[in-house]
Parts: sequence; C-alpha cells; structure tokens
Amino acid sequence: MRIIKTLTVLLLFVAWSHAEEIKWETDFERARERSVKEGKLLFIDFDADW
Amino acid sequence: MELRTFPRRDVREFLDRLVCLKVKDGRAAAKVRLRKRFDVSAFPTLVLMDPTGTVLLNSAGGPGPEQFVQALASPVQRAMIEAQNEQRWVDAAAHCHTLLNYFRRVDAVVEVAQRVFDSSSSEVAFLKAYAAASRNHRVKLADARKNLRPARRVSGQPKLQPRSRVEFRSSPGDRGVARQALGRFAERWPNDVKSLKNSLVEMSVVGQMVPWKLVDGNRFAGLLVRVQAAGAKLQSARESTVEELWKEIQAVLIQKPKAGAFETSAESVGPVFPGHAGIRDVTMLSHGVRFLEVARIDVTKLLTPKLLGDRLAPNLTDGRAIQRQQLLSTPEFAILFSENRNSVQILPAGQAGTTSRPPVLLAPLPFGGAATIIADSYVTKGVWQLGVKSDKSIHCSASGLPIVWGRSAAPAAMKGGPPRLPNDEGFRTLGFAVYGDWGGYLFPVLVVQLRNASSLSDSLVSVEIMRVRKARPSTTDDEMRVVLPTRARIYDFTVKPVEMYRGREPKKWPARWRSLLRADAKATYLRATRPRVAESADEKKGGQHADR
Repeated sequence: MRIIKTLTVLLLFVAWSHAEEIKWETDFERARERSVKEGKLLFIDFDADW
Repeated sequence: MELRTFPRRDVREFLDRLVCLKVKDGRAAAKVRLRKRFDVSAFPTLVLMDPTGTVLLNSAGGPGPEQFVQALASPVQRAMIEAQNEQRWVDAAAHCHTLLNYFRRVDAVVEVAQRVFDSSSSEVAFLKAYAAASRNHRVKLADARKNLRPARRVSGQPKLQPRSRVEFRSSPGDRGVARQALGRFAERWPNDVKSLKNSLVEMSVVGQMVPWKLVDGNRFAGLLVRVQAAGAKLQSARESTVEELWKEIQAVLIQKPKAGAFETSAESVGPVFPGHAGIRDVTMLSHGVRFLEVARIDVTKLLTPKLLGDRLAPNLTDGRAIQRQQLLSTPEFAILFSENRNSVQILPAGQAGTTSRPPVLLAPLPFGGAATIIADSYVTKGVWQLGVKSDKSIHCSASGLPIVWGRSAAPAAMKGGPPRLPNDEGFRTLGFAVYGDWGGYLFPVLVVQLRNASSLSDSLVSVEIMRVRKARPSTTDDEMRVVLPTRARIYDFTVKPVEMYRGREPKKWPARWRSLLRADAKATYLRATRPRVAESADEKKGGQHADR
C-alpha cells in the first residue's frame, strides 16, 4: 500500500512538473499568428546551441 | 538562462501568458532571415513584440534571473505611457491590461500601471477603451474591471467603483467620485467639519474667508492630483501636450480672491494660500514619475502695499517694519513638495530647490495671520500622526482636516479630526487612522497661526508627517476602525485602543461599537445608493452607446 501511495505521489509530481514547462514555439509565422489571435505579447529568445 | 532563469517559478508563470518563440542558432534560411530582421548580433537576444507588430524590447544579452520579469515589464510600461500621451486609449488599455495580467507579480510595475491608470484624464473614457481592448484581447469586461480595480469590499464602506453596466455608464469619473467621497466625508463626520470651520473662524481674524478657504483647500487637493497626473504624462510628452496641461493647471491655480475678502479687517493679512494670493507664474520640474511642483506665489497680491502701508504700518514695531521690507523685497515664494512626498516647504523663490534644507514654512505669519499648509503624502493602512513642529518659543496652533485622496475606488478611508491642541511645547499633532488595504494620498490641511513671533526667523515652522503605528498585516479593517471608534476618541487621540484590542476576537468588542459600525454601514450604504435612483433618468439618456 505504501509503495502504491509513493508511486502515485511520484507520478503526480512528474505530471505536474511536466505541465509546468514553458511551451516554446519554433516557427515564427505560427507564433506571430497565435500572438495576434490571442492578443498576447510575443516573446522571442534568440539563443545559441552551445 | 536555460538553467537559471527559465526554471524559476515566477519567470515560468509569466512566460506562460506570452507566446514564446525560441530561435536557436543555425544556418536555415528562416533563422537567418529572422536574425536579420531583429538585428541579432549576440546570444542570447530577447525580443518582445506586441500583437500589432511593434517591437517593445530588443535587448542583446539576458538579464539575471532576478531581473528578468522586471526587464520585460518596463518596455510595456513605457509603451502604455506613450500610448496614453498620444490618447491612444485602446493601445494604452491593452498594455495596461498586459502589465496587470502578465506582470502582476512585480508589485512595483503594478503600482506604476495603476498610477498611470489613475492619472488618466477621464476614467470613463479609459474604461470604455479598456472594454474595447478587452474584446480585441478576448478578456471579459468583468475581468478587466477586476484587474484594474482590485479593491476589496469593505464592510460599511460603499464601493465607489461601478458594479453594473448601468453604473459604469453613469460613472461620473475620477473627479466626480472624489467629489462624492468628500461630500460623504462631510456628511459622515459633520461635527468634525463644523468644528474645523469653527476653529478656523477663531483663528482667522477674517471670518469671511473661512468658508471658501475650506473649499479652496479641497480644490487644491484636487489640483495636486492633477499636477501629479501631469508629471506622469510629462515623462515623454510632446511640447504641445505639456503646454495644454500647463494651461489646465494654471486655470485651476489662478483664482482671484473674492472681492472684499481682505478689506473687512484692518488687522489681518490673511492666510498665505495660492487660491487667495493668486499665482502669477508656475514652473514645474519633473523628477521622472515622481513629481516636484514649484509654485511661485505672488505675495504682493496678498500683501498689497496699500494694506501694509496704510493699515498695518502704524501698528508695527521696527522689527516688523523690517519684515515688511523683507517680504516686499522677496515677493515670490515657492511651495516645494519634497521628492519623498512627506514634507512641504514654502520658501522664498531664490531658495527653491535647496532640498538639503529642513522642511520649513516661511510665511508672513508674524502679522498674526494664518497659513494653510497642505502637505501631501501617500499613506497606507495604519495609524498616522501629523506633527507641526517649531523650534522657536512661539505660539503656534494647528488644526486640520486630513483628506485621503485615494484611487476613487479604493476602500481607503480615514477617520480623524481636529486634535486637542496643547499649547506649551510648540508641538502639535493631528492623529488619524487609515484603514483599508490600499491607503491613499493624504492632504492634511493645517492652519498654523503664529502670534508672538518677533522676527522673520521666528516664523519657521516645520511640518512632519509620521506614522505612529503601522498596522499589523492581519489587522482587519474593522479593527482599524476601532482605533478611533467614536467622535470623543477622535479628539482625544491615542493609539492605546490598538494595544487594548490586540489579539481579541471581534465578537468581544463592546456591543455599542458593533452597533455603531452596523448603523454606520447601513447609513453609508443608503447614502451611496440614494443618488443613483434620482439620476436614473439622466443615465438612460446619457449612456446609451457606452457599452457598444
């Protein structure tokens, strides 16, 4: 029973932390379209791989 | 940034409300095109673009994790202020909405946004624009109002903000609401206003001045609010806007004294007050979003040579004659509100700007006149005390009507009144309590009278505003009210009740106090709702297209 409880808590934690991640767009046009449609600011992060 | 900034909870939470696009380094044509478009020369580069395509931020290098949200908030804030200056209300409202929604966690930004919102010349116009913006941005009006007016309902305190569409349409705007609030104050504490007037009558030799001195005091408080609004707009305003604002300010400032006001008494010089004296010229310096106003009062209009020469000169001693000379030779005085907003100085114009000086009032008081000091200060919930201090052994008495001039919808309110004034130590205080979560601007109107000053330097009076007791975070509004529960306690101001009732349950309060609060709440509610019914005919006429 204790193992099941622990596993459930862990599962919930993983699901929660996954849900909390920032959703990054990769296509500019699509992001722009979404920004206009939803009336949100568009934040672009130009970043290097290294 | 990947490791330190983005995993942060606050950053994540607000980025979640934006559309985020990550463009990695690479040679793909689309990426090169994008880098060229935004002129990217370093990594990381952050770009913030609003839905209309305006780039609000293009910054090479990433801010630290702590400053990230703030760094993205300030360009939006600038855009909002610019849009407001150009009367693009919809854009301004949209940006305001962005700020309030997205950057809610940054208290300072919310405060600035709120202040800019407060300073908008027409609240109703702004709200209408906001409603339009809300449609574009898929935000319900209810949400918009909730965001802009996070005022919590306080029991016994009428909520001044519009609660329904009808009320929204008929909302009289900032000034109207403020006027209502003032009227309500007079209604609610009529005896305080009456006693204040009486004290003014006693202190001012020219009784005739009294009624409109009070009115002027209120008007002056309103004026300060407007000057502050001008300060906010000055930040990046064009010349024409400044000119227009200036005209508006001057129109309010320059008020001629009522005919014969000074003629009725041979003894009095009368109070030094812009409304009385007439302001010849006004200059304003802007310190960012903080405001510094310097008003030069043409005292010669007050102390006319005729008045001085014909009527006062025979009664003056030599010392006073010298003062008269001094006054006439430096006819212009400056009212200087210090930048930290808790003191006021009235100085000869030549000394204006010398901020290192202690706050002093230098007014032609030795003639037995009274001066009206208006100090404005932002006060928050707590018990405050206003002190008038003089280091000279002169007779000084003070009275005052603190006016909390908060955001029109803020539940900020205060209770206070003319204090009992001991006469021995030259130190007078005025106590009052501010309850409600938001606080507000305080405009205590003090009348100071110096009777026995023998030289000009004797008439230096310093004014200090201090908070005696900060409210505990858990203090409820009702508890704050109990600090000054009855009128008797108002006059006999003491902070003791806070101590007495600390930690006690509200139900243990004396039944009389509770019934007083209930009666007060009921009466206030009735008063707040009654005029609405009377004005319903006008509402229907005036506000038909308001919500389109």
